[in-house]
Amino acid sequence: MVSRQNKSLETPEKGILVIGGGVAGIQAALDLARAGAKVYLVERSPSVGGRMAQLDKTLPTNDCSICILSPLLVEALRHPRIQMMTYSEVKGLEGEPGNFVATILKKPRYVDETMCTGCGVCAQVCPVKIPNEFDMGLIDRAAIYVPFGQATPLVYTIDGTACLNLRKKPYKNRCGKCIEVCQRGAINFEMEAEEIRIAVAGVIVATGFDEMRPTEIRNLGYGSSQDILTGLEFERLLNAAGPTGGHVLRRSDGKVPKSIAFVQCVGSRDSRYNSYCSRVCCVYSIKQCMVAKDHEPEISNFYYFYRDMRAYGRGFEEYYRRGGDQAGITYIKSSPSSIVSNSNGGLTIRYEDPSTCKPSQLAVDMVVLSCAMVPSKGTRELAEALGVEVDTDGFFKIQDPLIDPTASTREGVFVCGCASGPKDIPDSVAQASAAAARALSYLGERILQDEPPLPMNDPDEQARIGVFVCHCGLNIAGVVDSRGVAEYAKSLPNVVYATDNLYTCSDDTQRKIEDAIRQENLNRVVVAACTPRTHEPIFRQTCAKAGLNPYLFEMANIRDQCSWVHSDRPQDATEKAKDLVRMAVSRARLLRPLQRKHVPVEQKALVVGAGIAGIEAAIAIAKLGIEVFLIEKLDRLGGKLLNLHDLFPFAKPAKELLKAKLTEIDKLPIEVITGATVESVDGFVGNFKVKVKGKDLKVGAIVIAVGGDVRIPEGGFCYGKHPNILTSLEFEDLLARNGLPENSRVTFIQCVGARESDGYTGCSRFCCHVSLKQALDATKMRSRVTIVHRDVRSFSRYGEDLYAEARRAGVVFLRTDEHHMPRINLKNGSIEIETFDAGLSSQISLVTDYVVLAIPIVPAASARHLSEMLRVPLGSDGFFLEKHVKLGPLETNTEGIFICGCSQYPKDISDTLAQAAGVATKVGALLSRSYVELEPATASVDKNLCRACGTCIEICEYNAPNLVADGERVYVSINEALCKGCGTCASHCPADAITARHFTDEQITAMIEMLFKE
Amino acid sequence: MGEALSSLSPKELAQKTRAYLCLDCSKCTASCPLGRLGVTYSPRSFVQHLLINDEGPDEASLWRCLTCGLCHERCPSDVDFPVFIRELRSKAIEQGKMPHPTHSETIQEVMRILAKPETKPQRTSWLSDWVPVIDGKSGQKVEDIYFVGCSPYLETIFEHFNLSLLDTHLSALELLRLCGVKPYVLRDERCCGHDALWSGDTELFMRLASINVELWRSIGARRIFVSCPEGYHTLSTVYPDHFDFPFEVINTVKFLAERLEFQPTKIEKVSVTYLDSCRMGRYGGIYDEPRLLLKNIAGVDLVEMEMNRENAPCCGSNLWINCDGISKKLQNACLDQAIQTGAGVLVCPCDKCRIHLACAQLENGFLNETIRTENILSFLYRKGVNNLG
Repeated sequence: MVSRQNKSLETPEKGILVIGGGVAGIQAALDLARAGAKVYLVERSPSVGGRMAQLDKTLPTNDCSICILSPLLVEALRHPRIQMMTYSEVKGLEGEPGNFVATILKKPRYVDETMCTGCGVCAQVCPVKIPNEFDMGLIDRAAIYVPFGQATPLVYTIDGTACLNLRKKPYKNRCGKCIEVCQRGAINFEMEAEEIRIAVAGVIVATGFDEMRPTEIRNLGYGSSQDILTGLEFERLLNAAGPTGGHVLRRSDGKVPKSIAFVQCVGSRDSRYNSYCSRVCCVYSIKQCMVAKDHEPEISNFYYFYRDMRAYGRGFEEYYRRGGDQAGITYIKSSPSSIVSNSNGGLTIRYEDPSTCKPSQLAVDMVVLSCAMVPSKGTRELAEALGVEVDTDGFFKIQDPLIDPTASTREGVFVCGCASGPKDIPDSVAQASAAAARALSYLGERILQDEPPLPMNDPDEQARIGVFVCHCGLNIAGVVDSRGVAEYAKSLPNVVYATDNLYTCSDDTQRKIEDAIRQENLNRVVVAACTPRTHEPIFRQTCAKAGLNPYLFEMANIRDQCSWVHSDRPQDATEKAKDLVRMAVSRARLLRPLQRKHVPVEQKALVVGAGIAGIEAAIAIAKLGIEVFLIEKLDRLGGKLLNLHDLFPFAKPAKELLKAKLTEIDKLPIEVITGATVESVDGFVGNFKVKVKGKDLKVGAIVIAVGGDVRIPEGGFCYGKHPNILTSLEFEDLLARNGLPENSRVTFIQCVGARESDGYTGCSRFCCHVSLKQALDATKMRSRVTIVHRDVRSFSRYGEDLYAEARRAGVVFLRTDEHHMPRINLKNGSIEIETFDAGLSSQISLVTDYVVLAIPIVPAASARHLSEMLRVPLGSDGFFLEKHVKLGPLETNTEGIFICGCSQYPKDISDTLAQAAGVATKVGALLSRSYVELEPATASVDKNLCRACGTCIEICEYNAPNLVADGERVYVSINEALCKGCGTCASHCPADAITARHFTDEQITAMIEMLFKE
Repeated sequence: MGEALSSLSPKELAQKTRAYLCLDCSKCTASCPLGRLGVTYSPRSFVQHLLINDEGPDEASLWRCLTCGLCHERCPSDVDFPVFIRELRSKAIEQGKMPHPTHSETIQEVMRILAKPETKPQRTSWLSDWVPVIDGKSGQKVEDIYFVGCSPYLETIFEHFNLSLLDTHLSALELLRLCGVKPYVLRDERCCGHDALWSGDTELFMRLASINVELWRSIGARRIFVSCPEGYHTLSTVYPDHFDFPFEVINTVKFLAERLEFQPTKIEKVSVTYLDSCRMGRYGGIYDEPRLLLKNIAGVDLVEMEMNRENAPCCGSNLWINCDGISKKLQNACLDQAIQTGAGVLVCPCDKCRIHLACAQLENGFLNETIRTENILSFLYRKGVNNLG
């Protein structure tokens, strides 16, 4: 998109190079750009989007994956500080950190990016058909193509290996059909590869993963039947824009399967292929069952084969239960030995039935194999070009995950997301922000352009409304007649323009909207599509670009609230969509332009809690040149780290880690205040006033890093009744201080007070790793160790190696379940444990010298009070709630307040460090400017009508209204920086003195009236 | 002489066979060919019992394992269950337990006789005249040896099966000669001891093996050619663990695949299928070479059985112990798969597989004899010799 954005490469500004345009790369690029850095975003394929663009839904909310990703792609494309270079590869990196020179190969697209409009006529006439990689080869594409509908940029590319003209050089006019039809003359077969050299201060590698093709594992039958699919292939099958339009159909006969089996750990946790755990499969397969059931209610049976159910993330354990209760998934703890086609056209799975411990077989209509995530193709070559190492599994090597989980083996080169090993979206996104913070510290110059004031239109001018109705592929158009709705819209008063689009959020449609605003002289825009929650910002931005005040924009949600919920009644759904559009148009007519306000920012940050999360966050923020207050309720820094001795995975002493971090603190502008808690909080983003030890600290941003508390098992498992029944923390101490007498028998009990169906439902993520590490330590002291577990969840990078090491050292593993938790009997001072051994399906009793209770981290006792003071909500699990479960793990719903580490959810040190560093980029972006912009869609008070009754003050969740005395008169004033514009006060005001600016009574009434008007 | 295997403690056994690494994933239980016949045989349970309770399997289970290696093949933790069971058998033998031998223990008796140093076998009369024969004690030095193994004895015992077991070796020697190799056959060579080893009679195995190694050493052998998959597996992977072993063990089929060239002239249309015997395939990893040889013979249509290569079925019996109705069922299942391919010939590298399958065919009154078996080397020589370039 070089010339469209008027970016010149002639004197390129020094920036940060981001390699890979998947969700991690996009997040890193946006974080950097928002903080003022120049970003060069290089993507090998013709479009950014990566693997996340291929996914159907994301869990546990079952949100549409591309729908939440697409706005970020468009933002990255449009951002003036990001130069997106698609279809390009990095070939070399010379120089020193801070002063690298990167060599980038721009591959020939054979289509002029500045000329192509993405109309797609060329692809329709192209005679070539080859498997479409984006759809995992389940359907064909032409030689001239865009990978997917929302491709960003929406520019066609000719596949040189497939095109009839290009397959054999030199170019002779063998085909040329695309040239004939391209009215823009965008096709150019003479285009050549171009090498570009740019100066970069740091590099972020975000090259993601590939899915292993399990052809080698012949006993699982992949390739022998079309009805055996990989996880990603099935994901495409579920997708409304996929090869079957979202219908789960067998490729062999086009029929809906009655039963599907899902098989975990295919090529993962397998010493012959990849010994590591792929981290995401257990839960995505549950999601696939749920979505498949939703798409095809006739699928009656889901069989789910697994080894250890690794549902470790926030809400995952609950999701796992929901899969069983709601979608009716039959979970079978067994790895199938073979899958073969049977004579009925189905597939027969042979497996050991865990309830009888006998071999058994099962006939199903379809099988989905959760295949290993492997390093993306070309990882080795890129590592060589960048001068960094890869690890034993072929991923980019992280020098020391306990110092910086994003630092490669070369200074100045950082790695995030799956490029350094499998991880899920929120972990990838957090790492991306962390990598951005690290890279940013190498960049001297940052430019923050001031946002221009919003264009203001005359509100009283006759309304000229444009309506854009979205198909969202088949998400909407599969049910609602989008074209018909657009036609209908034309008949509505003041509508001067109406059209329908395949993807209204895509880059090309944005341009169409801009053109329409200018050409049709529109002064109101209505988009009937998905949800304003994710997409309103993009459309507002488009309006502003075309010179229209963004508050003159209105959205009708005809997807989530229409096509998705009425998929069985398409005609009625279309009528409802018309109703929704009619209402939106009636409101649009009454919208008023609003202007943003600026308030100055206090360019300092407060970090609450000085465990490893808070310490790291303070360091990373301070490294960006921002002063930090770091407060800690105890009199020492370190938090839980003070109670730990050796850290997983490489037995780094906790003391060493803490010492290294504390030394850094001393060198940075960080004011440490110990014995201090937050006493009160006042103010808003950019201008918080926090009382600490009776003193007011003025800060622009707050980071919550209060961690969690360990949950002491009160009375359970005879805790407290025997000196040798210890929690993992106490055992850690015992191991380090006194060790164990030789030949001690040690028994670990996992999930003590976690993963409960009543009570604390979550999984603490790190306890399995901790117990494995302690078990290994104990065996080194010649102890005999048994671990009683429900699933071994050693999913972390190197976690599976730790598990193998423990087994090799002779640690015995006994599996039980929630209903058969071990019982402890104390007899004359000796400890006897009775437990169930699911492996042998028998009751076992063993005598032991020590019992170690692996206890979880639960929300900090102070969390609720802090949550109330900061107005940051807690989740139902009691941990601080992040802004978005996938894409906003570090932000909260309160602007200017961020979270990291165990205050958000339990996690290990490496994941905590990533989050803490990631927070720094967010804080950095916010506090790099001297002001913040305030949202103008707030409430306002007519002081002449206000009776100062205080109702609004009582009900406001955000502390926005205050009583002010103006001489004799007392009335309410709304603090615009705190007001969210929710309108609650306006609806409660007995005197009708309050108006929600963007939701006036007039507007709402007009909509309601219009609902009942045909 | 190396350390006796049977002295392993349960802990050492678990370490040696990687049993500690068992993930309890259940793949093995469902893989075991016995399971297909309704006999539950769960390697993971045996491993878990040993790890948790320090208990070995019950005696019937101990001898029941076919050592076919399918569980090991599919194990994600690479647990070597066949060796695990082999070591436990060895312990059981030490404690005076015994498996049930077949054929009135004749074959075991042959092994015992051969294990005596004073035995002077006369077992080379069937060889072609051109084949050089050497006496181990002659003091003569030769580099290349062809190891025959137990075929001469088996041919005598199973003569009524008409399998022409010695053809295998005659063909192998002819084919080797075409490649310019003329190995010597050692007159006083012993049985390799494979069956004794896997039955747990480690002591008998060691006696046989040490006589062989001593003979090879005294004639200064460098290369040993072996056609029998069991012999090849034993000589190439077990012997070197126990002896100073300066010899190169060569699999005849593999050797030929690299050297033989065929003319692609089509002479006679014949459809064959190939059985990957366990020691050749799962134990030896030799899958492609026999197929290459078969396909390169003009006219040969190689049709694969439903289960092939690393998933190949078991011939149903092993080690001349514990042959019963289950063995017969497995043999018939294996034959059925071969018959279903429509091939006329089941080509197999292992003559023991052929004996077990023939036994089932005989018991069925040769009702199943829509397919006949042939050793790959005999087949190659018979079919391919005319096409050799």
